[in-house]
Amino acid sequence: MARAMARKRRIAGVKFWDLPLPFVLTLFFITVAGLITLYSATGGKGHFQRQLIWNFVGLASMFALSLLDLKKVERYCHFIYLGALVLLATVFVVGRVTMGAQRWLSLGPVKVQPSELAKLALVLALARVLVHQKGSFSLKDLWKPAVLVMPAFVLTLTQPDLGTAMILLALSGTLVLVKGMGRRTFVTLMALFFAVGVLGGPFVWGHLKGYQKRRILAFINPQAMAKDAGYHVLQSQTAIGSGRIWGKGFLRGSQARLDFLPEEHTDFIFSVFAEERGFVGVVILLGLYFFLVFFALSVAVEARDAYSFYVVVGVATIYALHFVINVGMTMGLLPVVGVPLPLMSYGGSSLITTYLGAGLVMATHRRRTG
Amino acid sequence: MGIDDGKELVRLKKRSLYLKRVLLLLVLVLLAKAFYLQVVRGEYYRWRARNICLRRYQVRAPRGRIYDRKGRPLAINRPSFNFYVIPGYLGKGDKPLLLENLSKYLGLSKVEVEAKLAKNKGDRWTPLILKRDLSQGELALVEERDWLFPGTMVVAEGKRCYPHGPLAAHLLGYMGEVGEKELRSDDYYPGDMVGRSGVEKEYEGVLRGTPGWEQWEVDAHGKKRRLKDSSRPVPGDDIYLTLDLDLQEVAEGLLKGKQGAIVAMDPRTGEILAMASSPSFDPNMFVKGISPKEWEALSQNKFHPLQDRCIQGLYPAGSVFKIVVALAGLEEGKVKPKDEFFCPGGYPFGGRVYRCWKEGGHGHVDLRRAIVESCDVYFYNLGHELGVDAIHKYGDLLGLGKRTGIDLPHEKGGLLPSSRWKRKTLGEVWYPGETLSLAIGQGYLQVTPLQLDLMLSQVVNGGWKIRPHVLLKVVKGGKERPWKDRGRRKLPFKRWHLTFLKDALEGAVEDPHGTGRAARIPGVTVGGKTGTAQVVAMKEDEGRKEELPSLWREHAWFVAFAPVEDPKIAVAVLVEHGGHGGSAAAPLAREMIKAYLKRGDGHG
Repeated sequence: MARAMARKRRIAGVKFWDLPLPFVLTLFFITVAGLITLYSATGGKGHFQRQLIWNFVGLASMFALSLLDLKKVERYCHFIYLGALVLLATVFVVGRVTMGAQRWLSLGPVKVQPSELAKLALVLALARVLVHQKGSFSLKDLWKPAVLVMPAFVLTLTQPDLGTAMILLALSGTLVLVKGMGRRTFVTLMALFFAVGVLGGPFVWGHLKGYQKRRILAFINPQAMAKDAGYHVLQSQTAIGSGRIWGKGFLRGSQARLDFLPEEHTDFIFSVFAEERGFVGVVILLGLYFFLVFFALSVAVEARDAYSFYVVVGVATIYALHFVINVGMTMGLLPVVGVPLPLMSYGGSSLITTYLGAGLVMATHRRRTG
Repeated sequence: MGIDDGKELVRLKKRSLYLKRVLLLLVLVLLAKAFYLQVVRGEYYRWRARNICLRRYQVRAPRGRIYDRKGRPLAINRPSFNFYVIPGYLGKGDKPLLLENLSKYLGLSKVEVEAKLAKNKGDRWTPLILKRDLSQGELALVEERDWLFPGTMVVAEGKRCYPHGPLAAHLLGYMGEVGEKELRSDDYYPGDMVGRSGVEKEYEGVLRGTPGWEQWEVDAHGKKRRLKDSSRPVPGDDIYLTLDLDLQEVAEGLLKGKQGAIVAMDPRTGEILAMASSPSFDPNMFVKGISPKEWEALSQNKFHPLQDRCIQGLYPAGSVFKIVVALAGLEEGKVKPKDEFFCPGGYPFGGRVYRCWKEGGHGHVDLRRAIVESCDVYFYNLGHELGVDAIHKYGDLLGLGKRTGIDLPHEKGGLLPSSRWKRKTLGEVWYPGETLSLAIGQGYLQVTPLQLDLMLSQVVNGGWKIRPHVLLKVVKGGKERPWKDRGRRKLPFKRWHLTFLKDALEGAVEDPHGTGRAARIPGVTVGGKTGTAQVVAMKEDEGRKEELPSLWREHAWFVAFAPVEDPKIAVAVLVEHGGHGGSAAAPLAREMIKAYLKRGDGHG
């Protein structure tokens, strides 16, 4: 009885310093590496200072969110998701067009990218669907998550933001698989995807924008498209490769300094890092990202309830998808899509989303089971 | 339900373990790729990164200057701004923009620029010249509004400049942009200017110098960020010509409004003192890049201003050739100075009469009088006795009918006929009648004014074989390399034969009946010989020539030297369609000698 009482106290009253230390430390190291690299990529001017401010804002919101009980989030998650969808739709009305796509929303001096927040909102909403699902998913039950993802997917795809749309899809798929799926359902689904891919592929290709097609062609053969879209990949590979084992050193990356790298402070920040720090740095950085996701998953299995578990797994999946896709893209393993590297790419929306996700992980840790 | 449900917990723990494994796999794939890029291919990418940000730029060497013999400038370099484009820096949308603005602001036609860009397929990073010598206004425009001209740059470079314009244009030559052939074979870069004629071409290797280079670190937009390494260009060597600017000015003034040539040389050394060809052109026109229209106007002009008549104009020598025939007669022992022939005004031979220029004839003439009064009949006789091949032998010894070897490009050789020549090229035997024509310098004979001047020089300098030349010395950083005279030797003529000829040539000017009296100068002894080159073959019974329209009129020759005792200058004058040498050409020779000797210096 006494044990039960003690346990209850711990659940009700939250200790502020009760943090998942390995997770927070990993997060901190990546953030520092990100800031240093950003300083190098932008010459320490406006971008760096703004990113520094965003980091503080992000840290504050992370701690604030970590004090929250996820039970409350669970209750309002559909409204949160609906709000995110509204923001996404607003982009089409008053959005800013950059690089041929509408992704930004201007709120006074701050530009917001609602698609970043939408990923997190989707996780919150989807987790509840998973909690209410009884047993493994059969083909019949799949309509629920599908209906949930569809509006966000369509909205981001038509922006067009192929990268985010694919991440939304992959994220949902991962979570559904974690919940569980019958073997037959899985096989049927795979066959269905394959069929849609083969039959719908040409249709989708016909509806892609010119620059999207070029990027995909460039991914298949960067040398042949070196003057065009492949230019980015080739320059990025050159930056990474020229770092060799030990790197060129801080502020010594010629590819970044002389503007040969495209988008060096956002999508291609990893190339800047790899050029300056070499393979040794890359091993450490990728190790840090691995442990970030690893520790998040470790927090998940200690979760008090299933909802928290799915939310944390969702956050971990967002992290993993982002860094794998981004790094893969800079090295030419994947086509170039606009996916930021968490905690390193410049941009407030991505940074805040990452920190909010971390806040959810920490909140789950505070209310863990023994 | 919830995680407290033991079975569910175990399942979820297992799932999260799967997730961790999949993640590990993905990270390992990423690491493998990073390993490949950074460790396996690291050297290659390091090389590539260096390669795309380091550019070598050619730095042109200042071209050597050209001076006259007294150090007065004939060709110099003036600062100018040249406008280049580097094709490699033209982005996707840049080319139409650039073409548009080039035609709008600088008047360069799109087609022209497009062709220029298309021609340079090789290195995209070699600057291509768009426009030479920007004006102040153009320079200000392209510097201030550089965004209108993507991928371009302005480079300050020397521009060839000929301060005296058309003066000695043929001798100095002109410059032109390097052609594809030179680009392939030599160490030239697109846009380089090379000498195309005259001294500029002959001494291209001396004047050009060695280009330098600069290695710059450039950013992706082609902006130079940092100079990494450089090698300074070595300027070309300066050249001093044997030309005397004052005398050259006199020569060109004398030829104004005429078509013709004047060559003046020092008969002792072969140094060319003046060399004028009229009409002329302005070599400055070529520096900016001559337009097709201007080029057509020059090259299609019926008076051929681009032709250097001194070394490329071929004319029969006329009576000037009698000097050669006289020398041949003396040397071969066919005639002695006192031997006389009778001139009745014509010479019947082979069923026709070869006329003397003087109606009624000269009566009894010895060799001296034959030269002084230029008696044709005397030389018909002498020529007939010598035969063509003896005449050829002496003409050849004196350098006629072949290139003199002057240090100028595109010299023509002309033709000194012989029986062997006729058999070989025309497949016919030599007719004795043709010897008569040759004896008075007509027929097949074709010589340049320079050849006649050389012939005269070698006769009056005591029989020394010389090589005419325009180079006095090359100056490289204060060190002088003078012209080296090679092959100077004595010609196999008897001394008193030459003395006799000199005396006879003096008579042609000084004697009361001399044909060259118009060349007399009080206080200076002048020797000379007139000549008249037929433009079309005359029938023997046709009237005298003054009445002919100018295009059919004969070319007037006069060769002269002074002072007779110790000749310092030998002049050959040709006036196309001038008529008689004595009246049309001799006064010009007189003025040349006067201008040169009256200044009292000559030279060394």
